[in-house]
Amino acid sequence: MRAALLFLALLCCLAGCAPFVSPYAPHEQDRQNVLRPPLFHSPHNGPLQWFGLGPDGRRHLYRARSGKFFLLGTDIFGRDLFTRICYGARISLAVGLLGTFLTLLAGTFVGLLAAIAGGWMDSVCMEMTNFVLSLPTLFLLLALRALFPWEVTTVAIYLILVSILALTGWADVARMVRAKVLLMKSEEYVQAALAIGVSPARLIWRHLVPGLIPYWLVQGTLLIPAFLMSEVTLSFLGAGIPEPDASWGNILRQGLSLTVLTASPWILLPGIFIIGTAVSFNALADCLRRLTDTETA
Amino acid sequence: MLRSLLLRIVHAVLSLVLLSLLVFLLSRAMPGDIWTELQMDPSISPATIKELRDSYGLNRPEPIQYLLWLEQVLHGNLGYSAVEKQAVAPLLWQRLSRTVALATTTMVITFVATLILCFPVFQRRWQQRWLDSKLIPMLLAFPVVLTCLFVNWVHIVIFPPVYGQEFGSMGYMLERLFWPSLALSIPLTAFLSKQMRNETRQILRMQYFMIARSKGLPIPGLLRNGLKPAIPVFLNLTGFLFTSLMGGTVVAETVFDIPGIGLLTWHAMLNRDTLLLVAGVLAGCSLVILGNLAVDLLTIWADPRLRKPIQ
Repeated sequence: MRAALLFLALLCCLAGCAPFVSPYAPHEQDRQNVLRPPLFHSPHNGPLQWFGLGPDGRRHLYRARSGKFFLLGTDIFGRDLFTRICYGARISLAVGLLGTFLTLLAGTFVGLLAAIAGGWMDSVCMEMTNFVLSLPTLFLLLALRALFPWEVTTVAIYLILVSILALTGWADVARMVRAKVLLMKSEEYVQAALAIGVSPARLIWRHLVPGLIPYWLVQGTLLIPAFLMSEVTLSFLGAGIPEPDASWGNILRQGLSLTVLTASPWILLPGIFIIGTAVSFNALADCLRRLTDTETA
Repeated sequence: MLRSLLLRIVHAVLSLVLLSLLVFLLSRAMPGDIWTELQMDPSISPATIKELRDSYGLNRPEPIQYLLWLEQVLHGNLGYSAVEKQAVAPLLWQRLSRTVALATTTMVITFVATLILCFPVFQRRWQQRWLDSKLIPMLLAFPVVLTCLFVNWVHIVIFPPVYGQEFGSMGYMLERLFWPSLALSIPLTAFLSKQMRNETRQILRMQYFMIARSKGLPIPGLLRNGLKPAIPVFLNLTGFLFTSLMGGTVVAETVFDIPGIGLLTWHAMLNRDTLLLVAGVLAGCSLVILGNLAVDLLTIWADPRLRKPIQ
């Protein structure tokens, strides 16, 4: 738990202070140093300079006194992998966070609608939910991605990605919110509120939403790594964040080439960050679940 | 019994109808059609293009179009892929078998691995703790992309590729399928064994099982009695696995270059080959729905409580 929080805090620092942490720009190519291994230092003269002033006139956490130092090696264009992982963390984490927010919003809306309206509305909503749950998400994501134009800016792609993730991910949330609200509806305080005739808006806002907060916390923490992985998969398949912008998925994309993969397996290093983030968020969710005593699927 | 069977089948058919509707709407929402390109040609008048569109029924109302489309799909006519230069249905059919083979081997590996991981009796306490708190959560967090790339790397380092092998022989197919299946089964095994370990642990604590054990029932008997109540839960979880498995096949087929539906759909998306993409999505999703139906029917067979109609 402590390790998980520490890792996430470190990751946020790396992503937030990416221009300070790494001595290179994310698009900076060095064709002389293509596919260099991690800890590559050439020409090697003396230890690294900490908090040194770089040639770009800014201070960086570390830099080689002269020549080049690549902490995690370089990719096929000679771009520093560590730099790209730091900048990629911004996009990948942002996809996870905004995607989770939208999904919780959409799922809660459908779940509340089903539980409060009841009757045929409930059946229709639940039928839709079960249907979406039974579909393989990746196929749906590919089809949805094809709806949108191909060559657009990274920001637009980011928004597209987030919205299609929400479009495929709301079902689980809707199912759980409906179950939870149905449970709450049978409780005395909600029955009492209904008996004195509160408006539906007040019922939701004052009586139901507070009960859903712990569930949102737990489910949200679980959804972030799930969406992060979806982003990784889509960007890996070339349907997500486009080059030259970095995301954890499209850094891994270079590993599709067998020659690159066999000659320089350190191209898989972003994977450690992906796994670390996912493990940390899952551990956090576990802990939150124990703290709030929430049941989730 | 018959009623619950029928209920499950009706449900699956409903899902398939919803799927067809969704896929139809998706295909309509995708930008452009085969005649969009003709607009570029100044020698073809807009009237001709409109005539062409009308001759294919594209001026009829959408619900009628949907029914016409559905009729063609049910007759096995999924259109003609302009990029692959052949009819979609035979192409899809040919690719389907590889994806099914890949999914089957993955399931076999997942089941065997889960079975091995599911016997807390045979594990020391520290092994159990290590499995539950370290290994399985760790494996759960592995994205399929990463396991595929990693397994591919290991595979190539251990067995450098030999060219000129006879394609299509049984051994070659198995070898081709083994590595991607291994990669796919890692996260699936983590998910399945996490749930099944809890389940087996509960069974081990049950009174009937403890009595059987203390009376000295030999291991085969113990297994038979212990495994039986776990089967419905196991089947239920397998149904959950299908959806992530299908998604995983897209990645595995891309990384290991296996020409299945996943690779086909992915290429169709990259090439903007609408008809093929739509057919691929339809095939992939129907496979999952049919797999879930099979699991549902098996659950009825395995769990006698479900044979009675639901009140």
